[in-house]
Amino acid sequence: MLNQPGKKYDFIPLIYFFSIFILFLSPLAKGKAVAAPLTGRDIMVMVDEAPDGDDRKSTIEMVLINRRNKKRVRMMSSFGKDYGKDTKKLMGFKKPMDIKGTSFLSWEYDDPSRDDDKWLYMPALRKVRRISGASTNDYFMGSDFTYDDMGDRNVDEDDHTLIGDEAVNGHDCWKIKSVPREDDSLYDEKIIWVRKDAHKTIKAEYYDAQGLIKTYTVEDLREHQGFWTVFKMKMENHREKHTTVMTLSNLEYNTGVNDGFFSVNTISRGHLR
Amino acid sequence: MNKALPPVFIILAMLIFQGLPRPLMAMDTEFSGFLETRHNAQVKSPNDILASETLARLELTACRGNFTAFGAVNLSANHLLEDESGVSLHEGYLDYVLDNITIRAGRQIIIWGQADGIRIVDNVSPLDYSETITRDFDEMRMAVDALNLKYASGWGDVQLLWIPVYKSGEQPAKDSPWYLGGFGSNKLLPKNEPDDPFKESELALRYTLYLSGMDLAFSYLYTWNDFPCYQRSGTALEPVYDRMHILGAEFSKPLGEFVARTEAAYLAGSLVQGYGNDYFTAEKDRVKWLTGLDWYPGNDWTLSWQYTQSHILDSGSGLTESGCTKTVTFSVSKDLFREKLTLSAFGYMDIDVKDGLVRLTAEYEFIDNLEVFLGTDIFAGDRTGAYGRYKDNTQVWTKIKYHF
Repeated sequence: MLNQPGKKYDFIPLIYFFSIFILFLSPLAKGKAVAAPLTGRDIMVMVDEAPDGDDRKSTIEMVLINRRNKKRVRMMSSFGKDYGKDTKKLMGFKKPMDIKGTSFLSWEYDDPSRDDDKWLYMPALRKVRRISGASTNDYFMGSDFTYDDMGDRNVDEDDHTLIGDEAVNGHDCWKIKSVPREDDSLYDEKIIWVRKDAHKTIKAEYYDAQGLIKTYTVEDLREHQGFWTVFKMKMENHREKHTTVMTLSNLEYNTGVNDGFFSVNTISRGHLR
Repeated sequence: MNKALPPVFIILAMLIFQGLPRPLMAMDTEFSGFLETRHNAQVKSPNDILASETLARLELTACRGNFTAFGAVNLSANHLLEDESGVSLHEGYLDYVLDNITIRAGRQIIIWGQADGIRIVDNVSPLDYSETITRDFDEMRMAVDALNLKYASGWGDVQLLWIPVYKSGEQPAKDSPWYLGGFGSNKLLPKNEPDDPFKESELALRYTLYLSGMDLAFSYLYTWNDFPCYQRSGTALEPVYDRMHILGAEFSKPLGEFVARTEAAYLAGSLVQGYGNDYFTAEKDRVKWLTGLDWYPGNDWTLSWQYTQSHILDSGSGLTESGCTKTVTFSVSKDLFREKLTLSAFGYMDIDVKDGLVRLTAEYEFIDNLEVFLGTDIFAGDRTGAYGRYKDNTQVWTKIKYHF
């Protein structure tokens, strides 16, 4: 029993040895993790988590072009703020004039089992209406983008497989196949090209059982206030020969907008300032 | 048609304008509005024109700092009811927003509740029934002159209203195809509407809470009846206005593709019209409630159903309206061709009287900002009912609307 303290001291060199061994080992372990091949899911998580500030605001112009090349223009002010992985968004329509003043507030949850909260303010009715947050497959304002296409879809609602590397317009990209896990999507699969340096999707093809439906392409991607930002994107519906071009302007990140802005009270005023 | 703004508002507006930076021309201004022409024709012979109006609404919004001024003027040419033609201030108010506080002063439309086409808690802005219910519900709204304060917090929004000027609803005139009938050969005394902006003003308080997965609201309104009731006074009939208290509650909850909603109101001391051997009025309490379900199944479909009841408590006998009415409404709407065409149907049905109204509408957006509407209003059922009485007025209509 009296010798036990001595035995305790004997462990000290052993602890040092293991500490040094672990210290040497850790870079190897880290290196091994980096060297592990990226999965499709890893890449889509990087896309989902690509930095875009704590909040952001912009003006969005959406041009709808039909098969006869006739154009319709929608313009809106857009605001967003992150709360962890959840986001609050507010959108106020400026054009066309028949829907001017219509505002849309959404509290979007990352958890796919939880429906988003959505409210719509209709200026003609002068009232705010709660609407269902479940129908994310609907097309947005007659465009070729569904709510899901615009980023409402959780990464784990699809299985993602990295199927190769490919250059798009001279930029190295990961090519990923995404297949919905449940039968809740308009598409049977998507092929997605993610730019390696920006972690942004710059091209996507949407397929169903009959083949290619739509192609998404980014026409203007650049850094703005330190964040990779898509300024212009296009969605072509090959079946309906219809295209939507969406352009962002007046974009600002980290404006410091307060939480109270993303409220029903704001949209019920009928004018966003 | 519309009253001038009361002096109290002019003074208030002047005080607020004192705080506005000058020159006013430096304000951020926007001019907008619409021009519409609408024409309704009776389906049955003699195929009379039942409504015909061309309306221009001119709107001006001016913003500076925390202030926003908004004005909307109607220029109406009513080709059928010439007395309805003229220039009127539809809305005109000044907003001041500071953090969580919003103050709106002036002529404004205030709408409460979640119900479609039915008024339960929504009793602040009266309705213009001059062309009855065949106009869109939102186009029948009348603005009130009010001071409207809102305070928004994480614990809910509080709204306080002061309405110093009484605003009566509008009923169809004698020359209107929608005239409800009068009081026979009885002479009516002039209207003596409440007009003291302090003693006879209306007050309201509303608390709303928007939560994740649920909305709640509670309201109190101290108001007057929108339309006078009549009682015998000598050889004539005297219009009577009376106070009432309205307590309201609203609830809505999304359930997947559905949104369930309900609202209820208790009207304490509402004035009702009676007729026994002669005209009389009575103060009665009422309970109104509504439950509804909206369904958003996707593919640009929207479906909605509502059931509502209105009870006059201890109704007794001799009242000109039923002690209990039960109404069902439905609406179906579908957007087609990328929202260029919207087909919709809206219907009311009184379950007891067994009469109803169905409105079918096709709305087509030819180009951005130009809409063409075609529709029909079908009245059916017992002629003693609120809808059945207009059976002969089943109509087709068209409207062209250009927004600028």
